[in-house]
Amino acid sequence: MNPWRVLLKAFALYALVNLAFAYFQPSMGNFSVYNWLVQGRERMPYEREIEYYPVSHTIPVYEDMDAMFSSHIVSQPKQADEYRVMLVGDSSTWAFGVTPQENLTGQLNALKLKACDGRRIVFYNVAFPLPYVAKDVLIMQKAREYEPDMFLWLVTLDAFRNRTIYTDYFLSPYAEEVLSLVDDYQLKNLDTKDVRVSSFWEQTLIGQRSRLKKIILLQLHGLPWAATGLDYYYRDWDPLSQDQSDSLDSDFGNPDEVNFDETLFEVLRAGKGAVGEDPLLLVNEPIFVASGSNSDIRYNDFYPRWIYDDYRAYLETQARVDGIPYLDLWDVVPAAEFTDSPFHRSPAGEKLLANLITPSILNLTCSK
Amino acid sequence: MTAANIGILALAALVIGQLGKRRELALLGVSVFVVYWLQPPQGFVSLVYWMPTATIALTVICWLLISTPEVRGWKQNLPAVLVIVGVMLVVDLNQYFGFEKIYMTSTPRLWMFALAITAFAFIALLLVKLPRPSFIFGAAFTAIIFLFIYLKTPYFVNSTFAWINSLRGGEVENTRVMFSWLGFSYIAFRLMHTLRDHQVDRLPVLTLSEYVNYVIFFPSFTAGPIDRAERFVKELRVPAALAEQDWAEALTRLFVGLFKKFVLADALALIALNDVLIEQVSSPAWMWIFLYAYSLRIFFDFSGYTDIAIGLARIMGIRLPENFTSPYLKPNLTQFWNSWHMTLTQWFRAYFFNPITRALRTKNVPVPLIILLTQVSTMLVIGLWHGVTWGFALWGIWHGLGLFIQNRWTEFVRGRIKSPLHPQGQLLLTASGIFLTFNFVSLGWLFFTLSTPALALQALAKLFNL
Repeated sequence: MNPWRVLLKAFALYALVNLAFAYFQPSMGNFSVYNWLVQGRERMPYEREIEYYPVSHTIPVYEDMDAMFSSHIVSQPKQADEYRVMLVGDSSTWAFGVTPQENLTGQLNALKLKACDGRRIVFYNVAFPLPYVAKDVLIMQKAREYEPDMFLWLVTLDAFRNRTIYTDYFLSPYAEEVLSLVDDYQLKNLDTKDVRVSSFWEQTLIGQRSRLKKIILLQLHGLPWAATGLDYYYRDWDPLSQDQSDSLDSDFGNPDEVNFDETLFEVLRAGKGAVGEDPLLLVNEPIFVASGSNSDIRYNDFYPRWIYDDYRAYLETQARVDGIPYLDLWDVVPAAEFTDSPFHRSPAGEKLLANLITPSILNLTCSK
Repeated sequence: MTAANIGILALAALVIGQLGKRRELALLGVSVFVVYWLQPPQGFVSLVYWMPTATIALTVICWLLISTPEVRGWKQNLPAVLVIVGVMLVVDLNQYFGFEKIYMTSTPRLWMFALAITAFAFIALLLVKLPRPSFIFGAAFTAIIFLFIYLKTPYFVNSTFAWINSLRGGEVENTRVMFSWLGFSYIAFRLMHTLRDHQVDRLPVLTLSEYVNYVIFFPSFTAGPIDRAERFVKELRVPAALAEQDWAEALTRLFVGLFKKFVLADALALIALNDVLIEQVSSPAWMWIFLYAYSLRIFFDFSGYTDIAIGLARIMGIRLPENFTSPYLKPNLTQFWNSWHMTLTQWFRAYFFNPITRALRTKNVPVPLIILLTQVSTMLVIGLWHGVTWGFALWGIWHGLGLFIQNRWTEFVRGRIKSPLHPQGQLLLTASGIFLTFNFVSLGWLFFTLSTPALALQALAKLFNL
């Protein structure tokens, strides 16, 4: 046997399998151990620090929404008496540091609400922990495959910022969908210059190896997840400081530079379109409001007062223009109920928020 | 070793296998290079070069000790010397060519290299010229044992490095985890084997090239198998042309090894029992699943590396000994240890178990006590070979006691079962034996893998819902 010939044959076979994979593009993310071998996750798989993947029994697979959704309980068949509400948002909705039972979704489910037509309202946390509204729209589009009846979209100012890093991180894997959104809703501000549809070669097994590896690892993490019920590494955290700096700067720029017309508020109308006929409730999520020194200048580390006040007014107007029911709950949670960031709430904060949102949800269930 | 490392080594093996008479020197060059290439990062950056250099130096010193004047001739060994020094020099010249991504981040200045070579040449000259007292082999053997104990005892290593670090103004932040001497566990066994066998006149005459090739043979350098010099050198001296069947076996072995290591073992690693899961899991059923996952993971990982080593060697026309023969399918602990890391247990049998047994027999010690002492002490030393920690010691004692109990049980049963069992009864007995042995071994892994004996006991309590 000639070893070079064996290698050549092996290479040819490998190339053939790669080409076949690129041609047929099988949806590997739909093959999942969740919801049959082990229970589905109550939140999208995510962990911000790689060294904690084995402790939190998870791995983010943002490149493959099929894999994300198939690992989630939302992919279980919908019951006949079920009214499905999908919660979309960032890390405060996903709920860092709070268990799935304690977070907003869990608190809403604990209320055992009934829709106008008598169906049980079941809430699903499909948030992904990035403050980025464009990502939320993609998730809402995908979530429609799972028979939703309503969407609850929690946002904060930071989520309307255009950030190239997020373009690479979350938009590039969904280039076709993103470019279609840009066309359909005439999105001028969404930075898509680096978004491109992957080439044939990038669709091969070699090109997709990283995504496939993550999908496989997600399945393996399913066993310890099922054994422990843990999907997050609960870290210690330092309480937020009531004292603030005297800086007027924001991540959007200084007061002379900010023009909300050039940011991602235009994505709201894409969000409205993404949910189709389903009711959508837009919520300006609560933030930590400091009361120490310079709190007359800044609400917290993220937001100086000038920009946040402008934002609230702008968001309300924009929601009205786009025809989206809107709830501004920015200051309803006391400062003591925030944990490691100006957006992350304690279980008590989550419960308070759930109670405040409930009437609007119940109202909306009667609208369809 | 990463899959990329193995891929490159496989290509090197393919080329070396085709070289005929030049195979030995090419293999020597690649093996010396691999010692440097695979050395992991160190707390003190310069050690990335000096630890592999110490490996080569120690090997050559041992060769100088065991070699006779006839085999030490320049003419015979000059090519090997040139290859070894040449590779070391090329690696050192890395700093001038910027090949950091290929093998290492830091190499010493050329004058330091020259100084080290000169100093070594002087030591070598002394070893050759000065008269050799008879105790020198025993002294060298003991020195390697002491070096081994020092390196395997975290306290000694950490204290030394903390001390050096303090002398250097706290240059390194965490010296605890940043020191390793790649392959030393295996090199030490090969060196001790040659020293001891030379002493009792069992070692064949080996040239420098043959000896260094044996000690640092790149396929088995990091994870065994621990071959015997006389067997290895026979293979090395006859560059056999591979037949079709040999190629099939070599490549199959290589790919099976890659699959075991990088697919099965790495996947099982995610669900294998560890310190974190002990704390997080409360269900006994899940604990057993994760414990079995660990048992399978360690087997696939280790036997995968062995398969890779055997496959790579085979491509070059060299047969390495087997290290694993379905150990988890063995019906008792003795058979398990005859098929798990076999070359290690054979080494200990030859150089520890048998000598101690012989010594105790001459002193009229009762047989059961001899068996208890030899089994427990051998397994304890095997445990400590992995590291001088309580966990490894308890793991060794666990297996030593297990072997003793199994030995006594076998004796007890042998006298009572008169007629052979019915085939179905025999099958049931074998199946029960496999089940018991696998579970005994799996429970033993708790001491081996968990960071403290307290955690192992906590795991035992959870496994049995106590």
